[in-house]
Amino acid sequence: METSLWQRMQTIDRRVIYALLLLVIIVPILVPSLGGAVPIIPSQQSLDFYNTIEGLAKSDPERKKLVIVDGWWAAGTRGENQWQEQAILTHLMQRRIHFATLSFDPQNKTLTQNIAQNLAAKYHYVYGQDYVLWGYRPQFVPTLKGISSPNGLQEAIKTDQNGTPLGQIPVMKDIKDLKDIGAIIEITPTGSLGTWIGLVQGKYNTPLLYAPTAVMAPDAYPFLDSGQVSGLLTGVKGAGDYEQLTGTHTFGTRATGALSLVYALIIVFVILGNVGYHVGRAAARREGQ
Amino acid sequence: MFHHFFAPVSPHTHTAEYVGKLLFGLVFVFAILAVLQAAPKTWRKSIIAVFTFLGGIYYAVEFFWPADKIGPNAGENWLTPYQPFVANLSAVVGSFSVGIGMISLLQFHTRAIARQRAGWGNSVALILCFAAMLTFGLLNQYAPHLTIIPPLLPFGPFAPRAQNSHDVFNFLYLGGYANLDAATFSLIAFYIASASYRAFRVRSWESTLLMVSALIVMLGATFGAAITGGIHPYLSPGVENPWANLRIERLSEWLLTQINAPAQRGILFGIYVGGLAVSLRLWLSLERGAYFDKEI
Amino acid sequence: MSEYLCHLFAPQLLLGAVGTIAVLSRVFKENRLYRLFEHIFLGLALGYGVEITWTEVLRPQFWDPLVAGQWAWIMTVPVGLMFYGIYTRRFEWMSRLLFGVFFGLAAGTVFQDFSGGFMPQVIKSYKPLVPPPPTPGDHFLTLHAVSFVLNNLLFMTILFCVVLYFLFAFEQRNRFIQGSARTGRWFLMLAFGAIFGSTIMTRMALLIDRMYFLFVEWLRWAKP
Repeated sequence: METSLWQRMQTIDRRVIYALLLLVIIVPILVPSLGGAVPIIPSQQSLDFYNTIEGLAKSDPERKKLVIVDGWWAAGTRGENQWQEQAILTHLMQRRIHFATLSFDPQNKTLTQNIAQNLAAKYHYVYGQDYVLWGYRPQFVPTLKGISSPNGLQEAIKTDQNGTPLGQIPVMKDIKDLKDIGAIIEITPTGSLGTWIGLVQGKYNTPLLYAPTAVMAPDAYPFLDSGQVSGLLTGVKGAGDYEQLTGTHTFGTRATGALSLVYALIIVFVILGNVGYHVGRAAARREGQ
Repeated sequence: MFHHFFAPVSPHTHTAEYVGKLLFGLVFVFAILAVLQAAPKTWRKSIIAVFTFLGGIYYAVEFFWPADKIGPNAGENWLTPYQPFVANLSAVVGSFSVGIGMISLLQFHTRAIARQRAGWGNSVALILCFAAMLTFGLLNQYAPHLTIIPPLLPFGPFAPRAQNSHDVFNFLYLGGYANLDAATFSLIAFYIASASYRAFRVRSWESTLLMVSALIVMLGATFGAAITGGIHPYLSPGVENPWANLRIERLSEWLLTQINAPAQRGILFGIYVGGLAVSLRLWLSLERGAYFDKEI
Repeated sequence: MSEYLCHLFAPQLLLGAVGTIAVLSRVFKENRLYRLFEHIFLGLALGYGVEITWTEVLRPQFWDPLVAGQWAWIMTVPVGLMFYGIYTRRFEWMSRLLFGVFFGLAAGTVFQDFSGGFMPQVIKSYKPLVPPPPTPGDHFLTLHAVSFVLNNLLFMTILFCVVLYFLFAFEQRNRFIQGSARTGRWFLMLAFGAIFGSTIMTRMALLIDRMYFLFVEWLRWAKP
């Protein structure tokens, strides 16, 4: 039986596919201008994220409020979450907003610390006065319950990651409970959003901003619609949007270019695969007749 | 009297009392466990059910008990101050389970080495890396400046400074663990590319809808803006162009907020109600299955 | 040149690069280097997990208070040892008892989760079908009003159809209910397509990050 080109293409070695994939990823990394041809248009959800922080900066000129930046991510998803965190902390430092980082994954503590310290040096942010690293907390639900209980925040967290009691840290002086929190930013590859919403967000309608990996993002849209989540950064695309909005251009911007080429390749694969499949089926039916 | 008995005791000034209370604590709990062990086997499932119920009673009662409306403890009830203690207690007891995973893995790999199974060299590497990470992780906490590797070469392009335990920990953690973790997660990208060519077949109306939706979202996130970039968002300054709603990134947003959101909410309703039902079944020990029906 | 070589062979970067290449080599062919680094990864992860458990939980919350005088914490030791009953036939049920307590603990938190998360979702599902007052300067009043109403109607219709699709409490004999459930399935396919598109983004982003690490951070073949 003679096989057509389409049918032969169905049995192509998978390593050819892998090699093509690597090529479309590596080329825009080495030649950034290729990816730069794709315009980055921030999504409405990224804009809402950005505007919430801008609004907080405007409404709290004396910087009495604290922003909690909560991280669940580890090295496995650093390709998306690290760049989101970097863009977010950059924005907070640009606007001189006080923040505290909190980690529920042990790896996240060190990874977040590295990002915060590198950016702090660049934006002259002083540890203890402008920001604090709360460190790793192993118990997610009890910590959230502690944070949301009246005057329970300092009791729930107790010390920063160096063991210094929170009461001795200047930036934490007037931060007693959730009323003193301006916003909560959740950067995560896990489904922890529902717990933040259930246990913390609804108490005083504290703005909750969500920066998940892209695969988790569609699940957040019901909460965006109900107003329980005020903004959303979708994976590395969201990081690229945020870099565009804050005027910084690092990996997030570059990755968006590479992502465009990869998506184009995937679309081509899907079309070729389906065309080959249907042509093969039609040929088989003709032969059967 | 209860508070006084459980009050802290200084181990330096009241050593005998401290040691005595430590021993008392151990003996007391072991005695309770011995009593539980001595109970008839037919009682065991009931005992487990009682303890399961007691485990959940604190948070459930704390939620339902009315909170004070005014005063210094507004928003709290009499159980709320115990939350940090309950959290610490569950964290500490839960942490003791780390040994189970450790024992299982080490058992398997030491057996592989002892029996010289195929690939036993990898098992040696595993155990060595486990020991190294544990050792240098602890040294990084307790003695981060301890010199581990002295400067090997005092001069030249490869002259390193002395490597202390913090450096060795970073080598293992940031150099090894973090990168291997990221690389392992990234493997799936290849399989998705392969699957998109070989497996994703449009065979029905449903799969067509799925593919069209995926296409719109993918294009909207990336170069779709370039495809429909010719549709200007404004007819004139301050006047929006209604046709701009056909731009791919806007179509993608509309799909995500008007189609995906209600569908996800429907799924969410099922998850919430199902989660509540399963949690109640677990709490009241009504759950059935291989684990719960297993003979004790 | 020597500065570049020093960077290329810097131990931390070199280990990361060799490990990354070893793991990614698996997609081309199963090989011994991949197997070795897979085991190295497991060993490092296990060691890290144990170290973190001691450093972040047991030492600050158990050991330090215990040696400072809070003797009652000693009682958690025999309780924690109940987990290890799993290795003996005689005491296996003790481990089930302890797991039962943790099941109960997790179940107890679900009420607050449910009320805080679920109820606002239900409330916000009732969308207005009357358009809001027009914004001054709006050139497309009718279009915006009609699209507002249609979008909300579509939202509630989709939600109704999807909930109906998942309703297995009774047999769906009525043709209207069957049709609605089928429509719900179609809308679910649209939602799953959105998830699929997003999943690709995540996986590809992780691979892009690895290539960035290899070619930019390690080989320095392009500027960061």
